[in-house]
Amino acid sequence: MSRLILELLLRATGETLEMVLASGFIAVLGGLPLAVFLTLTGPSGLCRMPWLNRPLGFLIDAVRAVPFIILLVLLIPFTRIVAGTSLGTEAAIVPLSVAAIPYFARIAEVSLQEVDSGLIEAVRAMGGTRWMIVRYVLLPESLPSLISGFTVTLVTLVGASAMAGAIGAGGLGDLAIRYGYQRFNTTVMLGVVAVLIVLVTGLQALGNLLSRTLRHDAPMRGA
Amino acid sequence: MTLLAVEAISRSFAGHTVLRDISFTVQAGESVGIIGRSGAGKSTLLRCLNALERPDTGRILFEGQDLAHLPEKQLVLLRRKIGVVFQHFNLLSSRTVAANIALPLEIAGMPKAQRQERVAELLHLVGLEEHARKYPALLSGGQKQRVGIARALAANPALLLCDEATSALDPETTTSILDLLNQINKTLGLTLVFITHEMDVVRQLGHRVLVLEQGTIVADGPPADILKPDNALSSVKGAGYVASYS
Ligand SMILES: Nc1ncnc2c1ncn2[C@@H]1O[C@H](COP(=O)(O)OP(=O)(O)OP(=O)(O)O)[C@@H](O)[C@H]1O
Ligand SMILES: [Mg+2]
Repeated sequence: MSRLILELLLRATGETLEMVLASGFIAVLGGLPLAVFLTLTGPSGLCRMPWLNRPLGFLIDAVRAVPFIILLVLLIPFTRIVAGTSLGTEAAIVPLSVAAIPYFARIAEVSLQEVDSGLIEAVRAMGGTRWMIVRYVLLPESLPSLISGFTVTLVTLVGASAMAGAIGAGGLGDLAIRYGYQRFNTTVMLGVVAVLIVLVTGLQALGNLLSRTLRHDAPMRGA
Repeated sequence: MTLLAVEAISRSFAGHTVLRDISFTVQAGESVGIIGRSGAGKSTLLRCLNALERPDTGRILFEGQDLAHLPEKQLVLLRRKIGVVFQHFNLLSSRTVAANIALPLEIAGMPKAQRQERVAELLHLVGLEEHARKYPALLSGGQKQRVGIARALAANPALLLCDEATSALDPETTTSILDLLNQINKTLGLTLVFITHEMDVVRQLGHRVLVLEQGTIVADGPPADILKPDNALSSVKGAGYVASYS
């Protein structure tokens, strides 16, 4: 493999990581509060508000229903307003985040709903406020599961960011299309695939490790 | 001195009456057992006593305040004076034993240094000093319930409620937990209201027993009288007794 190709791969990997990590961060920032809100206002929540829960749930699902490649195009005007341009790595973070927020919100909602209702009852009985229940029960008890869900989100973002490459976002997808597809450079194409595999399996392994380390709800296996 | 006065409370869920015109009082320092068949409304009654459930009618006077009518904001503060021990322990798996016991104190806003001191006291009381830094998943059922009791006592409650605190434990562990609860009632003078399906628990722990049937109190008196084999009500309790072992 030539030095040039290696440099191209390296730069593209950096751009992909930038897109994935930035939009992943924004997905947590936006998605987690949404998930908490959905859980609290849901049918078995602590402050049921169907008139708010249902429209919000609908909006979240509506965004998730749009295929990413179409969302990418639909959001171009919005991306221009937020990022100043609709081209490049930074600009791609906007549509990636818009897609990732509702995605992570639904995944995190499931994690939060799986928290044992007995624990919520216990903290309510102690005189805990709703905020304390979120802070002391919902979030810490679901943390290992939230991390697993976040890992899934990141892996999905790796794939989506490759798609964003198609509209000039840079990154591994962009590289694969420009060199591999348009110029029939098989080395680059295979290189991109190899890097993607390493990236995804690496993220997954890291996520699993972190989630397992933080999980205290079952006696340690092999301990 | 009367600590708790329940005055004619009723509660129904979707037209189905679960509690019907219930009245009784609990004196400070007393230990009162509640028995009755599954579905009789015992847990619902207990949930009313610490204001997790609001009765539809009637009053519940605790330290002069009416739990049935107090706004939610004040109820939150009042619940901190009532400890609850649960059948399935309900310990936070994300917190160590010490941190679980400290939680009611954190909720009450106690400073950290004071909190640590109080947690050490409680660990000593329930005999779990060497397990302070473990996570609950590593403890046995009896040890978990000791943590549950320590946690319920942490904020110095005026009343301790136990909903089948020993139902998930084997007979030997049950005895040790009952001894602990007895000790707490006698030496700390803490008022106890407990639900159980086991007649032995009532005999060992209760000064007085209430029998609940289909949402009404059908008997109220010392265990020795109520649990007499020739008592007209013994069939009711017999059923509850058998149910707990089936
Ligand atoms: N939140 C609720 N909504 C609807 N019905 C309820 C609710 N809480 C309790 N009930 C009903 O009230 C009745 C009494 O329930 P409760 O849990 O108080 O019984 P219990 O005496 O504690 O029974 P067990 O011995 O099985 O614990 C049951 O029929 C139950 O289905
Ligand atoms: Mg019950």
